Amino acid sequence: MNVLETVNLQKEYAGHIVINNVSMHVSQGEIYGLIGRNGAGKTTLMKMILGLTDITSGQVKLWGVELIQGNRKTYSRIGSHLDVQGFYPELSAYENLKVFSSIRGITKKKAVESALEKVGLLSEQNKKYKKFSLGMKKRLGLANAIVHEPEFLILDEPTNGLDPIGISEFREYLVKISKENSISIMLSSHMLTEVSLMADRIGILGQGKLIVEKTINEIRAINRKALKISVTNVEKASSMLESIWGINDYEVLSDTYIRVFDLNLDRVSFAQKLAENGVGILEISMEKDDLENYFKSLVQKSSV
Amino acid sequence: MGNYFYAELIKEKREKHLFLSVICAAIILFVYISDLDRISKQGGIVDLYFNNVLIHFFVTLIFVAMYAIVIIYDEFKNNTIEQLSVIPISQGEFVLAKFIFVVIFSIASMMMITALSTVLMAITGYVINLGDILVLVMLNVADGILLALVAFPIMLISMLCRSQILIAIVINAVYIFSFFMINSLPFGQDVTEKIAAYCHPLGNYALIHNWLIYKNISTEISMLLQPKQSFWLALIGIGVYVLISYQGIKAVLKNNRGR
Repeated sequence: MNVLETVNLQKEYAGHIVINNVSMHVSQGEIYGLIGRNGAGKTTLMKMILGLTDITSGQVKLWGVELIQGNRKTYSRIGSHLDVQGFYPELSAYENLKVFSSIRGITKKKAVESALEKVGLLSEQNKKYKKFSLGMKKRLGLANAIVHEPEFLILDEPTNGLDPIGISEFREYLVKISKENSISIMLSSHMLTEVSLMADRIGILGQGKLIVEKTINEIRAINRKALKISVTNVEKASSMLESIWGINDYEVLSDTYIRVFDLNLDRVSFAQKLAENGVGILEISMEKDDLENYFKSLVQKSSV
Repeated sequence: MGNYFYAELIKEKREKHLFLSVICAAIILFVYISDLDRISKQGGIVDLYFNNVLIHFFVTLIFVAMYAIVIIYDEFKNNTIEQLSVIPISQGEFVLAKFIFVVIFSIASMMMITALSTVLMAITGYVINLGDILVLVMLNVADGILLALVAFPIMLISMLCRSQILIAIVINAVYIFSFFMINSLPFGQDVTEKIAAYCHPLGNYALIHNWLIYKNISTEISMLLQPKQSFWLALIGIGVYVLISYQGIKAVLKNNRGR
């Protein structure tokens, strides 16, 4: 079941198309990573989903029900943390969360403490928000997003400003709540590698367009580690791969290049056998698992 | 509703905007002290109130307006309005919780003056009459609620101005001073009095206030004759303004979206 579905979502502002025909899907219990460069429209898209900015055309469906602007009842099932935070500077972390949790009508005892503990802010609960560092402000935003135990979390660049340990802990926490409680999470980032560590599905946004929406396994398959071999006769080389070494997991890239995914191939004996059969090897190299390059190439293609 | 009130209480505990009422009371008390020697020793707290009722009303109104502007402005300044939008809030309860705090502010300002001037009069040898104090407290509560009702349009204007506090102050000043300009309209005195009494929330307030005094305080003390305009029409008038403002604020909150 789709928790979120957008249908041809479009936003125009001052004559520019900021979000262009975006149709995306977030399933139940899935972590969806929305990747894009700064200014790609990630925050705008999230704000559109949250009803914080006008939609020019298209639909937002939450749990299969079309969102009618102004009707925000469904939002009580969502926790959100956007890049721009809204907290009361004179209030402590605890008091800020207490204000919002009171308005949410949370009656569960220790709900605020529990949320602060999850983001590692319990020891700082009495410190005023205005004295918080950027990382602490981020954590408080996250605590506010999870305090009511939502079914769907929307997080805009949630790990920005967190230290490496904080990032790792937070990542583990998101994966845990997603898998154990079947909570759907949509998070944005400009770092594909980081998101790929936790996301089940990835959407890549470039200049307001959703360039790609694939599961992480599909993306990994495209970016698998492989031996890239340049030979003088691709057809002969590939038939030898199958007949002599029994390797079927390869792909022919061009007239001269083959990509072999079986990394156990003995490169020396492979080169010898090819030479014996009159096939010359021009180049042999190991291709890295480079998601960042994949992201770059997609974004560059979209901007052409 | 209790949750919203509690949330406002947590904010107020730290933001301490209610302290504006202390400044308000101090200013009025200063006026009272300067007027104290004009009251005979047999005079009471009610005489002092009626001697300075206009300045008392005007200063309190300005501070109530400031308080109403600030508590709305804070939500936009801190961008908490976005958080509240996605919670989502019940717009009606949110507005009413803020309104209750304006009522508290308004009544606290009024009562503080009554309490301080009573103490002052007792110290300086005036006769303190418990009945007078009770009457004045009753008037303070009524005035406090009425002033808070007058502040409803102020809250709406502040909400529409979002984080533009200076624009909110200017438009609210125009709203307040437009009442005093009604008398300059090129109509007969009878017509302008009716316009002031029925068509402006401040006029509605003044008329209801006068009726309350006329009914509860002797004319010798208040020096107030029976008001010419209808109490009920004034009450309906202020009710209409409150209803329009309340629905307006709810609509603004419901449709609160950026570009």
